[in-house]
Amino acid sequence: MVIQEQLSLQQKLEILSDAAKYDVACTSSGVDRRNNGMGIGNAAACGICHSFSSDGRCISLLKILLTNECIYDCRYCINRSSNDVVRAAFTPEEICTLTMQFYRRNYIEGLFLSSGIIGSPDNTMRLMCETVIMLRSRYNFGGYIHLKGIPGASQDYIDLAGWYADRMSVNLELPTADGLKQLAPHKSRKKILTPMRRIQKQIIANGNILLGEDSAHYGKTSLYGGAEASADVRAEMSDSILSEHGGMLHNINDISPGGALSVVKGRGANTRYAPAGQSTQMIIGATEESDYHIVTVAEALYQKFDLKRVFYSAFINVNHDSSLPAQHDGEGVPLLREHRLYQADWLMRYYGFKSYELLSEQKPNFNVLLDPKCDWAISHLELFPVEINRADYYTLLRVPGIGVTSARRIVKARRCAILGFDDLKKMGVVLKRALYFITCNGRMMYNTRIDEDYITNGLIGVEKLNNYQIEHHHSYRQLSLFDDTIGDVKLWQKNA
Amino acid sequence: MAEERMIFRCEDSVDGIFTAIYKAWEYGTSRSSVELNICATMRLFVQYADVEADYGIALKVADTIRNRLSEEVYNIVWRAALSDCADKAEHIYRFLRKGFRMGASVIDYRQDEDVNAVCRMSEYAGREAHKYTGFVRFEENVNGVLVARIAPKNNIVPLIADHFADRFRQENWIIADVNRGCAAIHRAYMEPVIMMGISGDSIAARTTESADETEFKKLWSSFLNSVSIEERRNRRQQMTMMPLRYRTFMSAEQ
Ligand code: SF4
Repeated sequence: MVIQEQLSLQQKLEILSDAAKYDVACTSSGVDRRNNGMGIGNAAACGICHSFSSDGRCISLLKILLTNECIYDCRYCINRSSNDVVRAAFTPEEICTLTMQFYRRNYIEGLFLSSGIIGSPDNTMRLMCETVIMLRSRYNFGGYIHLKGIPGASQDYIDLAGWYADRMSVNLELPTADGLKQLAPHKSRKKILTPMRRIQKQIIANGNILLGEDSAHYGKTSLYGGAEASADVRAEMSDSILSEHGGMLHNINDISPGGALSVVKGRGANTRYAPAGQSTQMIIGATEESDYHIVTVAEALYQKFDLKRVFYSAFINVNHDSSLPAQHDGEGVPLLREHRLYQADWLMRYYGFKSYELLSEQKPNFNVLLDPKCDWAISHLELFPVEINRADYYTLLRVPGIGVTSARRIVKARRCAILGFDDLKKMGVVLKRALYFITCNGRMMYNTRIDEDYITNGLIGVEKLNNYQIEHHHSYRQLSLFDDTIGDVKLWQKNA
Repeated sequence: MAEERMIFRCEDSVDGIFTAIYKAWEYGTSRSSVELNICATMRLFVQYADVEADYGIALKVADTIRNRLSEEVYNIVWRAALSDCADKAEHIYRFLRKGFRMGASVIDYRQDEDVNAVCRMSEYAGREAHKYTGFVRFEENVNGVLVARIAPKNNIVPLIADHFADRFRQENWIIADVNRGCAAIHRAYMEPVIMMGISGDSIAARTTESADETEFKKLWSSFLNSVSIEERRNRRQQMTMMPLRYRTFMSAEQ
């Protein structure tokens, strides 16, 4: 495989952004950082979309590969070694220039850098580290950086990367080890989970060292027990970080003897390791797993690896590979399934649902006609109706048509007065869903029955249009996860 | 005469609205209301008083809201006053009357019409401001100054200036609202200044592109083309998330 040397920056950008586009995450959220006074840039925890591509996804980062050259041959991937495509590679300087110039024109929040495997995992990870270190140190870039951890790269590089990137991610690729063996013969579950575990350890060990402005986040990091540590312990840890950090900087010089990286001095590194946490993604529908399987895997990742996000990517047969599900004329990309998984993911992260509440071995797949929350509510009618003026916050959250924002508003507003159905509308409750499940001051909105078939029929009418639009996405209107989008920008963006 | 109902009319600005509210309050809350002087309908049997915006008075009102209610309530009222809703002045007036009775928790009282209206206007302006933190496009001119033009519905320049001042601290930049003729002007390492009465011509005169500008625009445009996934093509979704009205000055997104 030969990397084309004579390409212009424009051509490289076309090739290497095209090759990166199947990575779904484009989030820039999760970290608040003011300008440090030495250069350009800051980061906003809420995430900012700078554009939307013609597939309707949020664009917030310059999402590119360092190179699309790859020694591996993953069946689902456009960059696999057996494909005959033009190969290109950026130099670190080119990436820095693009990032800086795009950033100051407000095109982007920052950089999302991934790469095919060039030479070896270590060689690849070294180049990626070099690039972000250059961006932070020489160009004083203070915007957002999302960096991929390359499976099989050695621990030193993983340890280094997180001091320069806001977010780290290692792709799980496929939900099961078997699927991986089938489709990505050069990767293994172990090679993927090892860096993931390492990143988690680094985040835990170094997440509670809060300096300066970050100290406001003490409460949050106490999940890791950090906030409870005494001042002495913190100081000691901070010392060890600083010296360890010094050690790392020393390492860089080892990596690149006398090379570009000797510019690294003091500035540029984070005060914490990967402050925006870790995420991953898996491909949906290339292999045989059930939805139940996928949500339990996601749940385990959240619990055991402390991931910030799991992204789901509807499989697209880009290589027209006959051993993978066929998609003639682009039909059959499992978008509705992906959508249901994001909804379920949302329920697990923000609504306190457990995977076993949503699905089971007996009921392994999501209902195509109903969203997971409605589906759950209908099979738990014994818990309804719920009285709006009395039910606690978590009970309210479980009512279809009531989201995080509206539940909060209800809890506050009912301190002042007894709420009626008109009031609920003002609070953003979607009554056409909620009306089957609630009472206001003891009364239902209409004369509806608490009956499974009856409610299902009523709700499917509401849902049908949505689902039709997801499947026929050319005419698809609004990819809102639930109806609780009011006042919460984040909820609008599935991939953000 | 003093028994008569009085409507205090003011210009569409935060200072104007706050000043009119102050005057209306003085006159007596039970027989006064506040409206923008762009509201055309005149009614019979009411008196109208035109109020000149007064910075000193407006500041007093602002401080009172901050001190007697809270910083959070103040921010909500401030954003609502920057929204483009025609009846905002009266809603804010009534909201504040309730607020001074109930205290800072007035914002939890969403079932109330005025509270709901003010919160909604505030969210509306806030949401547009948030969108523009992403959709503002700077063009580098021959002097190296970054110039952005926007045409927002709400008066959001004051809402986004600080964000960009922090982000692009070391840059000289201008964000101009071409409809309102107001602009945030930022000199490197200084606080941004909001200026009124900026003409379209004076902005246009500052938009001669630098040599690099054309190249980076082209690069950005090809990036946008290549990141999109054909199999997921969904123009309507794109339209929902980024309606055309935002794109007037986004040359690559049209
Ligand atoms: S390692 Fe596999 S998924 Fe990654 S670029 Fe290479 S072929 Fe593609």
